[in-house]
Amino acid sequence: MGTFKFRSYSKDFWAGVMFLGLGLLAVYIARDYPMGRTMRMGPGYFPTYLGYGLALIGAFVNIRSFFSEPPEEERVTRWALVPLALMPLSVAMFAIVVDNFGLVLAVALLIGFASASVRNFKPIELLLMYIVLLAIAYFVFLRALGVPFHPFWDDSFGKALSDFIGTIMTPFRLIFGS
Amino acid sequence: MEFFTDVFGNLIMGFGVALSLENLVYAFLGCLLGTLVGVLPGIGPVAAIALLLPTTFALPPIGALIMLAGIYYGSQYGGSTTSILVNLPGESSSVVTCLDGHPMAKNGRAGHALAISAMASFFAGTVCTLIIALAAPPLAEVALKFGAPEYFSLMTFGLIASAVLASGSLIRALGMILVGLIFGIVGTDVNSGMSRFTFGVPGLSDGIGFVVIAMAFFGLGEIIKNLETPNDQRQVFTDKVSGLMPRWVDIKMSAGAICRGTAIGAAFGTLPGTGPVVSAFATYAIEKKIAKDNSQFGKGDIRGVAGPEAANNAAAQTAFIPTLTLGIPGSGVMALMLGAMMIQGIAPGPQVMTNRPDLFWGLIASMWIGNLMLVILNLPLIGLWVQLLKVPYRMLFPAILMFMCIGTYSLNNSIIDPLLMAFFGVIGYAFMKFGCEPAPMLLGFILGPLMEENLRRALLISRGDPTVFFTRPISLTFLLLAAASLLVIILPAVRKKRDQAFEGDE
Repeated sequence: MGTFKFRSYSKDFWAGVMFLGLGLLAVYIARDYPMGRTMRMGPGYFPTYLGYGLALIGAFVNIRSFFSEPPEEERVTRWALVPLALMPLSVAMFAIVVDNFGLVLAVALLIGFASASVRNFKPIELLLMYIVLLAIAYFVFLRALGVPFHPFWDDSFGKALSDFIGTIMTPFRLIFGS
Repeated sequence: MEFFTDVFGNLIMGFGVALSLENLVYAFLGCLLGTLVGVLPGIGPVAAIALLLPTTFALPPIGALIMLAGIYYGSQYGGSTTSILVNLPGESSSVVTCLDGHPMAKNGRAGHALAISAMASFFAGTVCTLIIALAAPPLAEVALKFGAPEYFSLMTFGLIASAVLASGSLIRALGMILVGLIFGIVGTDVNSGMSRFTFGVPGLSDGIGFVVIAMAFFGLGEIIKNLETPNDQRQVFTDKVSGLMPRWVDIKMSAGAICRGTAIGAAFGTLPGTGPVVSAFATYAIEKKIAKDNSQFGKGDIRGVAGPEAANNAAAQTAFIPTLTLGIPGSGVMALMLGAMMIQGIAPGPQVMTNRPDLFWGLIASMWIGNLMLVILNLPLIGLWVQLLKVPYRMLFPAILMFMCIGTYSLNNSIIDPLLMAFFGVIGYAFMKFGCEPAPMLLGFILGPLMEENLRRALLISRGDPTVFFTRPISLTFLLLAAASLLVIILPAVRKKRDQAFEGDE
């Protein structure tokens, strides 16, 4: 048992904060939903009790952190701040770009943002990754699996490209039939 | 006797389904993709299945399930290859395999280690396929008699057991279950038609997709965590791997370990929680204790590879029992399998066996075929996997990210799902930093709506009397089991043992 102390480096402290916050938020929002009675549970019944339960566990875990010194593995380690910012950003970027500017640009941006979080990329590795991933995105997902993306921001450009690819593929079609 | 001929006949029908060319191709593809993902460290089976799930939507139900099951046990096999060759577990369940597998590789016996691990896994897989075939029908029969109170209590037991068996803090695991249950409520309430926790976002009225949640916590969160140490230096074992045929001495030495591992794994696998991980650790501890000469354990004892490998594969197989017969998943992977069934329009539960016998028995037969394929497939392809292991993580994670983005987008062809994944990825990473395991959350998330519905029904038939859960014997049994498993873990002596078992499991 350690002394009573504020320990913001303890995993328990922050896990407790998260649980408490989420639990109370659930209770707060669910107060607008009819509770019903035990015999006929309303839409607010289950979430309200879950929220209270979570808040209770959160409070317990949080308060526990004030009383004992956490061992090494119970301390919050350093945050990977750059990836933490860049990964969600690159996903969000993909989502916004893909609807308006097509899959190819979206994937290219995604790779660019994501790879920026690692410093020791060699140029050749980056180039290789762009080629391979763009090829997978275009040929596997768009053409083979038929995910309904626009390949490019402008469909006339996409059509020109697919005609071009069709022309290149003609000898193969002739050899393999279809 | 009649029972056995029934099972036998059903198995033959199952093989008829699974051996069709189409389904063989799906099983093969699943095993190949699963091994590929399993070999790569830093992406586990949950993320793998979530990642590849959207590609199975277009398949017929039986094909989709066969392929997903293939991905699952393929990743188990692949994980042990990485453990032996790189000393980095490809999956959490192959942590134990590192202990003796990698020293064996260092001593020039990588081939023997890989061969015995494949043999042990295949043996365990065969036995457990039979166990599933024999145990599932009677269990489903019992389950058909379950009413709402029984289901509610069973799910309570399942959730609590998963928290007890998860590594790390018990109380935080319980908290994560509640977090999952609350996330599961988001969407339109089926009974009142009311939107709950949707924050006015139209994309949320159908709830958060379980693929989105799984990818966020096990994919995106995991990637951010792995990037904490950006310069990963992997010591890939580069010598030529030789001696891939198991030797008679090795087989004789490890036969006992394989049998015990299979038995332990089969038992643990049916329990909710991290079955494969716990059973592998337990088997290792037992083998070390009963061996006459245990001086070589940790330095390259073949029994330290064979036993845990049999155990984790056995547990991975028997985990299907509660999922298929009761419709209650025991792990994150099983939760995803269940979700895949729902997407295919199959209501999970005991009635699957009677309504869709082709699907049920076909899946079981395909498990055995998949195990056989993995042995045949894996050993000759070792060279390829070694090459793959040389690809640095910094080149892998953008690829994983791209698969996740396209996968989540294609769920509903809407940008809401990738955005939600980004949001929950951050939350998932934060929870991981605070020592909260994501697996119990996923289980809670899947079971949330089912639990609420069964609670509502149970209280309706009992006219609001909550003692209904204690007066019905089966329901009471489940609740007592739940209470007992909680008590056991709180008692200090057992707790110490549990911490020892998880030592080194990070």
